[in-house]
Parts: sequence; C-alpha cells; structure tokens
Amino acid sequence: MTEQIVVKHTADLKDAPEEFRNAVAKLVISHAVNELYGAQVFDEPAIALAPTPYAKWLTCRVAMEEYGHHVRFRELGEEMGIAPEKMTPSEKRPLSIFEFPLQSWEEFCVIKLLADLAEILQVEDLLHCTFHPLRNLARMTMPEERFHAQFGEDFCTELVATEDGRQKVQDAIDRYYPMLPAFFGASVSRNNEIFRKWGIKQRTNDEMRQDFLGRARELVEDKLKLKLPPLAAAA
Amino acid sequence: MSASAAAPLVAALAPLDDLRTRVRLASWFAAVGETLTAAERWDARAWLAGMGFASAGVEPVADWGRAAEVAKSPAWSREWWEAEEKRRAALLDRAAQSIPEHELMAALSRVMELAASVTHGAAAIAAARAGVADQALSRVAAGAAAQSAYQAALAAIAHDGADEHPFSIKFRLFEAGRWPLGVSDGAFHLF
Repeated sequence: MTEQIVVKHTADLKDAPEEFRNAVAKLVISHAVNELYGAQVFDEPAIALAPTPYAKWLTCRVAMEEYGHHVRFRELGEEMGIAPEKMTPSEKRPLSIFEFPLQSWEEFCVIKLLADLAEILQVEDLLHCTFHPLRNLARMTMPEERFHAQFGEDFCTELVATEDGRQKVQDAIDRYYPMLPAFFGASVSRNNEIFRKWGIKQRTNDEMRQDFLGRARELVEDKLKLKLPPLAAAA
Repeated sequence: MSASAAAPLVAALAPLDDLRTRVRLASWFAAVGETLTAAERWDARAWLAGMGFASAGVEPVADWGRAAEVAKSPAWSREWWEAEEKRRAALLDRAAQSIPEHELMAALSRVMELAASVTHGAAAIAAARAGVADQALSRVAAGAAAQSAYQAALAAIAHDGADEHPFSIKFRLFEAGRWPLGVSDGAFHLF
C-alpha cells in the first residue's frame, strides 16, 4: 500500500509524485469544465423558463453560484499551473448528463433535484481529500450545492401538488434519471483506483452510484411519491 | 493587442470603472420596507415611463413576506420582463458594434461576479434584521440585484454612461437600498 501523503498548499504540489499531481489536475479540470458548462446549458436558459420573478431571480442566483464554482476551480487550476483554456468546455468534453435538451421549467427542477444530488456526492467525496486546497474548495462549495439540490426539491414539491405538474415532473424524471448513473464512471476505473490510492477520493464509483440510487429513491419515491424508472442493466 | 489598438477598448469599457465602485459601495437592501422618498417615487415613475408602463402606479411593499408574495404572484406582468429582455438584447447588439464579444462578455461577467459577491450577504443581513431567516428569499433578492447590476453595466457601456436609461434608474433604486419588484396587479411594487 502506498504511504499516504498530504499536500497542504498548492505550492507544495511540485514535490508530490507525478501520479498524484496528474490525478489532482484531472479532477480540477473536470470540475472547472462541468460547473461552467452546466451553468451555460441548464441554469442560464432556465431563467427564461421560470414561471415567476421569484423563480427567475432565484435561478439567476443559482446560475451565478454555479459559475462562481467554475471560477474557484479555475483559479485553483491556474495556481497549479494548468492553462486556463484547458479548463473550458471547448478544450475538454463535458459530461454526458449535460446532453439532455432542456425545454421546460419542470425539467430544470428535476435536473436540480437529481443532478445536483449527484454533484453533492462527488463533492462529499472530496471533503477528506489529501490535497488540502481541493478539500477546502469542496468544503466551501458544499453549502451552495446543497442549496441547489434543495431548490430542485422545493420546486418539485410545489409542482407535484397539481395533477398536471405531477405528470410533467414524472415525465422529466423518466427521461433524465436514466442518464445519471453513468455520471459516476465505470465500475472498473483506473482513474478511480489512482484517486483512492492517494486518498484524493474515498469511494469507488460503484459505491457512490449505489449511494446515489438510494438517495434518489428516497427523494423521488418517499418524498415526492413519484416513481423512478427502471435502469438498464449496464448502469 | 497593441497599446494603440487597445485604447478604444479601454475607453469603451471605462464607464464600468465607476459602476463597479458603485456596486461595491451600494447600500444593498438597507432601506427595504421604509417609507418611499420623493426621489425614489420619481425614479420609480421614470422607470415605468421608460419601460412603456406610464399608466401604472407605484405601490410600496412593507416587509419581506409581502415582497416574496409579490415576486411569486401569478398576477405578475410578463410584459415588463419581456420589455427588459428586449432592451437588454438591443443594448448587447449596440455594445457589440464597438467591443469584441469576448471582451464585452468578460467585462459584464466581472460586474456580475462582483455583484454576486456583495449582494447575497447584504440581503441575508437585511432579512435577518427584520427577523426573516429564509435562505431562498435572500438569494432571490441577490439574484435580482445582480441582474440589475448587469443591466446597468450594459446600459453604461452602450449609452456612453448616460444614467437615464431604465436599467440605470432601476440600479439607482437598488443602490439606495431598495428592491424593485417589477409590475404586478397593474402597479410597480417597490420594497
């Protein structure tokens, strides 16, 4: 077993093994890209879809917070010596969960409910990261991510109070939920092995996925009294 | 970019220096719920006239609970939001004639980032002072304020700093500690 190292400051990263440095860089790039892309394809367009000024302004704030997360990760990346252009969606392909074509307010609320729950799990896994600047950033980001998932839960709860809203939310869950298990990566993943080897992340992709499926079931079936669609075996 | 090529860009974005200072120094949400002053009523009527709603009245909003009700009301007028969106699009087109898109977006983003960093805490404090602990509502207020800062930035760039554009007037109301809630039930609601 590799002896656990702890990197307390970005300036000390140069003394860490190359595998550690590369692993941390991959994570920072991925977060920087996906926070930005998520704000661009979901949060910003959702402002127009929101039904009241209250919902529009809250969505506007959420979009700014997501963009703010991108800025934080990008700044950390720059401190680490990563070129800014490598931390944009044009350079690195964003995750497939962003390929969902957003068209309605109900879909957006479901995205916040489920995708932000998935994001919470990813950020939670960094709360004890051995690269402390990333750990600190995860701790800073977590309250806002929790609020975004709560945003989804609150608006979905409001929507399912009517039959029409209930059907629309269920329909959005049926189409979006199947995209989410893949968000946690392959069951056998060299990247995840390396992350855990160095204590950068704590859990396997499958452990995270199972946790997500359980929490999503609790939210959708126990709280909202809706149904989760069956998932393909490969998920 | 050479110094001579950069000079027009610097000049075009110069009105934002003043605006960023105003965003930093504004009394965000410090006067919500207080009696409207004559100057605030004048600004509210000027905003209405500028947006094409001259016949609407000005309705003071007394507390955070009522502000949330107005912002959530199904009776809100979509026309004012759409009218603002049209003006925003027109200003963007106009600004893009003199400023390259990337520089324009970057400059506007910097104003938004600054507004985002100062307005949320101010809204949460103002609400807490009034005995309201509602995370969502203080974020709604901060979202509205940051949107206004963005609109004012666009107006300042595209209109050479002129401050009688409706977006500049709305920002002035925010700057004075108010929260303009838009048009609902035939009146401009001002918290």
